[in-house]
Amino acid sequence: MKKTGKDAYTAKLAKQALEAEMLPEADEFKSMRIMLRTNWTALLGLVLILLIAALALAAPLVTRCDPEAIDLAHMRQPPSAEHWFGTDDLGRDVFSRVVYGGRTSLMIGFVPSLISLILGTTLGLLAGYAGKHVDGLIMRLADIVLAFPSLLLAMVVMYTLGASLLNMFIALSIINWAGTARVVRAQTLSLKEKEFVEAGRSMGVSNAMILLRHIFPNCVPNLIVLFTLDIPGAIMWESSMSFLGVGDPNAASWGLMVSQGKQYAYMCPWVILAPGLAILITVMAFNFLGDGLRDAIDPYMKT
Amino acid sequence: MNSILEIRGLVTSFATDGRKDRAVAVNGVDIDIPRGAIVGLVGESGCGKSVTALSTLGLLPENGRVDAGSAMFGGQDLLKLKDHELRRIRGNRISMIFQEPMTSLNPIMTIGRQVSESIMLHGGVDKATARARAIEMLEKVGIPEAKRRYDSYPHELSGGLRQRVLIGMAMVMQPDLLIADEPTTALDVSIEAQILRLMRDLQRESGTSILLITHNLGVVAELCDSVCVMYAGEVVERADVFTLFRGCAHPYTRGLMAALPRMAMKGQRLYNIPGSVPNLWSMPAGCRFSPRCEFAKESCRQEKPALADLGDGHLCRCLFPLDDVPQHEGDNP
Repeated sequence: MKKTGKDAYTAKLAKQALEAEMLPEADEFKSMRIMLRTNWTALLGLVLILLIAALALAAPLVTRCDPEAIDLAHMRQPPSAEHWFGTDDLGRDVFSRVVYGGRTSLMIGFVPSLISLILGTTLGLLAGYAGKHVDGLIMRLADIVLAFPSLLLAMVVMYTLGASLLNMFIALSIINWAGTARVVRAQTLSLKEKEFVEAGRSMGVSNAMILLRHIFPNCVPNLIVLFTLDIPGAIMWESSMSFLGVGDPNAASWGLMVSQGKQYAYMCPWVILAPGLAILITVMAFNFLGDGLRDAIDPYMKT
Repeated sequence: MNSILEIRGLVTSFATDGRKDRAVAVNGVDIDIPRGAIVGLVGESGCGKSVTALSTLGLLPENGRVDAGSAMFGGQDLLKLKDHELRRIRGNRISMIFQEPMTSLNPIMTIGRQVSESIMLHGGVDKATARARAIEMLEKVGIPEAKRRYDSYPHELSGGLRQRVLIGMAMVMQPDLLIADEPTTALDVSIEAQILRLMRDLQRESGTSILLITHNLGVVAELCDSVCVMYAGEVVERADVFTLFRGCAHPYTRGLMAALPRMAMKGQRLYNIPGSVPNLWSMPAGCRFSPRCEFAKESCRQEKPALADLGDGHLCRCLFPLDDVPQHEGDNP
């Protein structure tokens, strides 16, 4: 009897030991969520982004004037209760134009970043995993793209293909994919040496499945950060190009508005101030969020 | 067919940056793994134990290459199979456990999915069946509350539990052969004992043969039926576990045994074999162990000894095999 009692006790101890072994550790998605609660600039960035996106989406509801309605009787009017941000040289309501322009600018931020994310990730994964000649080919291609000044390269593409929104997407994707590909390749190189990849191979998992189910998901936290920081970059490139006159003249983006308003900058500064501030706030918001996310997954920044 | 795996004359070499000649890590290794037996593969770090195992499964890194030899498994030579044929064997009929339980699991996939991935890959069953079988396996390897733990991520588990999960993954298809590459090196001793017991219990239940790679002779004595001792890419001694521990014949094995800490030697300095493993590019002529061997004679440095049978299947690669003398008097065997 005494022995069984002791046995039960040791079994209980062993069970407790097993339970105690399960200690939590940090994981990246969790630290991203924690970061959003504690890092107020990142949270502000997220709130601003959601606000801007909501305004752009609900443009017909928040504006009272057609952004294209020309009213020559009320040209270059300063901000008023009727026209919050004033009117431009054709009497169009600047507030409406900024809100509707947000649709174009956000799309220009989002679409090329998504294209370059997909392109860069695919090529980066291939380069890192296949190695040798595939790696050499893809990375030299990336080097060539990165060797050109980005703005110049994008402008050359726009001149060659012609000014349209689609070509703007193509131009911005071309200058952006290489950076993503480099990051993903570097991460693939380190991940493919990890034991769990070797363990996967020892279980008979095919290369394609290892890439898709084991390596790619481990790159996702980094890709979220890259994507968040690519968007403001694309908005800035587009604004610069529109300002320089290589953008699509029909896509009423913020950059184009600044460009068109610059000749009246002294007479009616609100015409360029409003879209200019919109660019500033949007880009800042994305950068705040992106920096916060990057800090959250960077082990060296953790305290 | 008595052996589940017969490795014959395995030669594996590696290309190294800045060198034209390849480093030969494994040089003519013969290993037999009898059906249902546990075979220990021992030796110092860098003697070619892991490379031998990786070669047979076609898992060598890119710069590695099998130059010669055969590995007969179920009537097939594993070294001649194509990658997609090997993939059907890996994880299904031969599986492997690695040294590092902390990093051998994908950190962002639940442990249950990692176990059922293997079942779905080889078993051809649907998700629900795979899940049920995975939970059953997790219970079998001693994961408490397996049903709840199925959805745990690796970081929520300790090293011991992770190694249990890895053993579960390896054993779930009831393979014919399990290659365990230092499965307990990263664990502390009490967990090590638990894991070894688990492996032995599973082995008895399923009849799986095990190739246990280790540098721990204590683990070998505990678990194995027979032992291969490797030195500098060669098998230097092979015997069943009782013969070896009763009286090993190779000076290297004797050195390894003498280097084991013992209660009877409390307070004394621990023995170590002088020198270190030779460089792969400048192997000594003659016996590869001769520069470190305290019994080496002139002929040892010139003549390369063959793996000779000392009787009863006790093989030894030495010109002057040691007699069966108990090495540590007053010690319990």
